[in-house]
Amino acid sequence: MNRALVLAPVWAWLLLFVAAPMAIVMALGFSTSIAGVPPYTPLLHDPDGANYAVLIEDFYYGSAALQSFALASVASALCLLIGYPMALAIARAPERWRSVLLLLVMLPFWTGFLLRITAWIGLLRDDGWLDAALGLVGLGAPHLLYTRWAMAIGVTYAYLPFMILPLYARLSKRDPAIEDAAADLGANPWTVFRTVTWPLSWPGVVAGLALVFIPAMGEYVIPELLGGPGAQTLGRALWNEFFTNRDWPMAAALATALLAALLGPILWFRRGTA
Amino acid sequence: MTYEVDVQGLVVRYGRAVALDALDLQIGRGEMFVLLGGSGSGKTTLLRALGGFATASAGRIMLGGQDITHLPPHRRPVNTTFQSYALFPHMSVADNVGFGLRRQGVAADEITRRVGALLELVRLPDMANRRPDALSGGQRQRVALARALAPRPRLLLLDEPLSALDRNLREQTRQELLRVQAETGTTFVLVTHDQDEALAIATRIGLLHEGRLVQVGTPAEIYEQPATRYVAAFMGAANILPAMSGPAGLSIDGIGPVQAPPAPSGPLHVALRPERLSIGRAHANAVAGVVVRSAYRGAAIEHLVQVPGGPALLVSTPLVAGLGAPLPLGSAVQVSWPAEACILLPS
Repeated sequence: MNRALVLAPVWAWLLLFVAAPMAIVMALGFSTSIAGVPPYTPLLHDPDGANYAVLIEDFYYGSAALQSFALASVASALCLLIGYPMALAIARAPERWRSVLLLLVMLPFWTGFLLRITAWIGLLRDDGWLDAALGLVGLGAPHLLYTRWAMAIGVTYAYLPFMILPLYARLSKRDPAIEDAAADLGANPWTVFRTVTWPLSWPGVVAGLALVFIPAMGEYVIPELLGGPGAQTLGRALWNEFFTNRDWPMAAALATALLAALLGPILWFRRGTA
Repeated sequence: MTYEVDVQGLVVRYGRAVALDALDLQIGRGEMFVLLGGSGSGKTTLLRALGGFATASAGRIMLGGQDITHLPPHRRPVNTTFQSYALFPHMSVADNVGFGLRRQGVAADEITRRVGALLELVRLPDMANRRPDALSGGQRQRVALARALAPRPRLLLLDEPLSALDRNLREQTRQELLRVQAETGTTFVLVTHDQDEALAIATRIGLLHEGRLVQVGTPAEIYEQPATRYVAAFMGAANILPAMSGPAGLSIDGIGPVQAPPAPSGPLHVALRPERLSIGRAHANAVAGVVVRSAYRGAAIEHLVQVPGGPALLVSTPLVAGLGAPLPLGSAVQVSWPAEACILLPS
């Protein structure tokens, strides 16, 4: 009884703000776009799967999904590559330094996301700072801005803290004697990492990958600001359907399909952290 | 004579603090050497230096005639059982025990055979496929022992191997350690803060205090002939009294002349163990006092007897017949002890 009382607000919240909007979006995906207010036929009035048929038939959406998948994969891998050594270094830093270092990781969150991504335009553009720095060491002008590399850099930059924090949480919990034990039994530093540190940090790796990969799949702002016009990711395709084409049912169908596609990785991530 | 372990002038610093100060120590082959000391005495640092986890600022560590001072842990023929056991939680018991063998590149079927033999040795043959978290504390301890013995180290280090076990298991595990050592012939160096444990298990004890070895000897030597007041106090001699030795013999401050073994002239200290003192006039030396405190300890009764104008003496009376009750507080009693109970310590 008391238990139900405590859980009631949680369930009410989930029902009102998670389940209900999702149900509306899903229903919207089965209606049809019309000129009017609201710009769609009444929900559940005459549902048809035409929007989903278009998603499959028009390769525009398939290609957007592939672009998003490639972007999210590259950014997740880069985040892991950069974030793992950082998390390890923080976890092994002297106790009094750790909270300061973690604060520095989270410091970018204190300023606006849009502002920080816009700042990257200045860094990445031709004769921008990065360009000039690479020119100094004789690497020439790389033309980074408005390419898929600019997007990957932007997503990696923006989501790096989401990789570092779960990794740090996992790595800082370990008993340092376990790594000593591996070295004691004849494992060189690389073998210690391969056989002990890495496998024991795996739940942190999976959590970090989930926190980067899943939002990166639907990322809109970074492709919009740093990607070229050809960079039609799922986030941008969604925005176009909704705001440019005013085709709410199509946008809803796309959002539902993205959610369904992400269920696979989410379930895998859940298994990895269990 | 060549020693299995020969530590020469070893200095280990943590920042500006000196954890080990020009330490010399020789350990023979097949010994069960116990490093004993309080917290901060440097005993764990010495163990870590032997294992390769603490860097020597000066001095040398020789093992079987080879200088291992600057070898990293993974290249030393030394293995450790850690205080927390540090078993690999993501591996089965068999994989834990086989870890060191895989690092040596031993063939898979040979690993299986040797892991099986080691699990027999520590009496856990049916646990090979368990995960460490499915084991009890005593079983984990034995897996850690088997894992450390697997690469056949020249030297096995044990960091407080019994401290996490409850009393009954501790006695049993102590016997296991002695049996395993006898069967493998490995040199063991064991760290503990528990002097009873050290006395019960050691071939020799090295007592550390503030980064120095204050005394090295057999359990009987350390117990009967403590070199300093610190050793005497650490080994449970509760009554340490200032005294003066002269031509007329020994005189304890506040008690007066007593019969004691011969001592050089001058001020010194006399240690009297509580269990060597008796209530009553049974022995050569006797002094009158009043019971001011008492405690029932199960195997013995302890009385604190205040000598008027002198020291308070802790007297422990074993309950030989099994029954006994503390004397009422305020009882006037005689405390006596034989001459040889006086342990003389330089001041």
